[in-house]
Amino acid sequence: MIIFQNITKAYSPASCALQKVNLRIEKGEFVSIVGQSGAGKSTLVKILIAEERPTEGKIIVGGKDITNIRHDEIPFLRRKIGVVFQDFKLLPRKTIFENTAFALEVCGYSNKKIKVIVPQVLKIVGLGDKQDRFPKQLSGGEQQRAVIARALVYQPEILVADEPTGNLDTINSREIVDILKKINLLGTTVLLLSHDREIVNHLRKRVITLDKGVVISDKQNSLYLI
Amino acid sequence: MLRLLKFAWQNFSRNIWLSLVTIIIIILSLFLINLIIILNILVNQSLNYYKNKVDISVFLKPEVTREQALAIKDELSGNAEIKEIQYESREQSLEKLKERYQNNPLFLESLKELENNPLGETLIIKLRQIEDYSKVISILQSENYNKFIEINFNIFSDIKKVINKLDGISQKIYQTELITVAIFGIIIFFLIFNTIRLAIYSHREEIAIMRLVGASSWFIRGPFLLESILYGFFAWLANLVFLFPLLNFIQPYLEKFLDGDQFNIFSYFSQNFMPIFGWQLIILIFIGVFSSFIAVHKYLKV
Ligand SMILES: Nc1ncnc2c1ncn2[C@@H]1O[C@H](COP(=O)(O)OP(=O)(O)O)[C@@H](O)[C@H]1O
Ligand SMILES: [Mg+2]
Repeated sequence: MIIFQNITKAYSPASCALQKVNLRIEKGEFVSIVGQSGAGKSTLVKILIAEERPTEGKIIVGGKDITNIRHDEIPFLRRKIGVVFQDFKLLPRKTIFENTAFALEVCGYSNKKIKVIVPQVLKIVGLGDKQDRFPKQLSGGEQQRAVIARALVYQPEILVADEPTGNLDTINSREIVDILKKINLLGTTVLLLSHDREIVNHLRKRVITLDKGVVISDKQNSLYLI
Repeated sequence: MLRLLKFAWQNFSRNIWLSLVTIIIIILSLFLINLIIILNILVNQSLNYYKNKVDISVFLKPEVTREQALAIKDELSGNAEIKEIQYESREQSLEKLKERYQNNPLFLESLKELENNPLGETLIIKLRQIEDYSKVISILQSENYNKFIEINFNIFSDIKKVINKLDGISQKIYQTELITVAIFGIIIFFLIFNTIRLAIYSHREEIAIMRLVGASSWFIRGPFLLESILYGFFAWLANLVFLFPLLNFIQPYLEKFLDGDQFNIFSYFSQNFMPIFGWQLIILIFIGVFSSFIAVHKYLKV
């Protein structure tokens, strides 16, 4: 599904954010990538969605080499990968429904389809009854769930969550992780990037540990080591 | 496509004050340009009017007979530059002279003293084009006609100078028109550029999300390009709304100025709607798309 081959990323010649990273993630897996802040987790995500190009190495997504992806192909790659970031980025002047629908609108989906898809997705993340509220009127956890809903509207093969619990307390964080698990059970490959020991240990799934841009461990059913 | 228009309209209406200021400045620029175009048309029109009034009166020597005069008239009429020649007999000229000096008894007395009519026959030459003035003068100066004619050719060179001067003025106004269009073109360019830049800035969150969820780059750019077209279009429309009443307003004064001349500035603009306003719209849209395209290219890394 996702293959990183010898990926090196240097933002400046002096320092490397990633060094010779080799990873292979299968379809349907739930993978946690952990490491202290600055370890290179977000850089990995950026390379995956072609926001950054690797300095060296090769990256393959869904059997397609995207190392030198053409500019006009990037939108199609991004519709295959749903992304959730730490800072929620909901549009404050749109309701939860409109925020979720926005992702479909800007890709040219018909209003009819939008009316079918959006409520379904909001139900999956447990916001079925709050779709007409504005982001301000929701708790942090609920906002983050709305962001997950927005990332799910294309039924992406891969869902990437970069520090989705970064701003949340433990209970809300557990909720988010439970939703990610549910989504994984529905068949989506899930990549969770986090520096939070608690939630990763709670998962007991494959854990990849990054330190200073280097993969230092990759174990099934593991705990957060450092 | 409809959705693009909706987004463009949202951009437009969300920054309503900025949008209005942008449009108003474009309207003012357009209005100024059109005023200069009107001025240019009026000057040209009055030039034509006076040019058509310029004709050449050829006073033949008294000893030239009526038959000779008519023969000269026929011969001259063969020239392509001459539209028509009016013949005025010496009797008619005398009548005119008397009429003009009817308040001057002294002059009339001295006319009566003379036994014979001292005047000669007159030919009044009307030209096809004022530009042929010198040509016709030189024909008159040639040996064939010189001996029959009793005039001072210096007068003609004075008229020539006046015509050249008027042509120079109309040339200057035309140049001013071009320079104004260029300057305001540049102003409108930077104005739209800046407005779009601010619109992009105030939409940076939406844009970030659009990129993240995989909106195509044309979907991200489209609303900004459309927005700039809207500016041009609305300003153009508003300009027409202001301009036509103004034309109607100056029409009566114009008629007085060019007395009797059949020139209606209102219908002139209506008839030349496409050449004048169509081009303005096309150029406005071109400037708008061009400037917003550069702004989008510069500030939207999609
Ligand atoms: N756009 C950038 N330009 C330069 N350096 C960057 C950029 N993004 C990240 N870095 C550096 O790369 C390293 C890894 O960053 P990041 O991938 O954000 O780590 P993490 O997400 O694990 O906290 C850090 O040292 C960071 O300073
Ligand atoms: Mg990070």
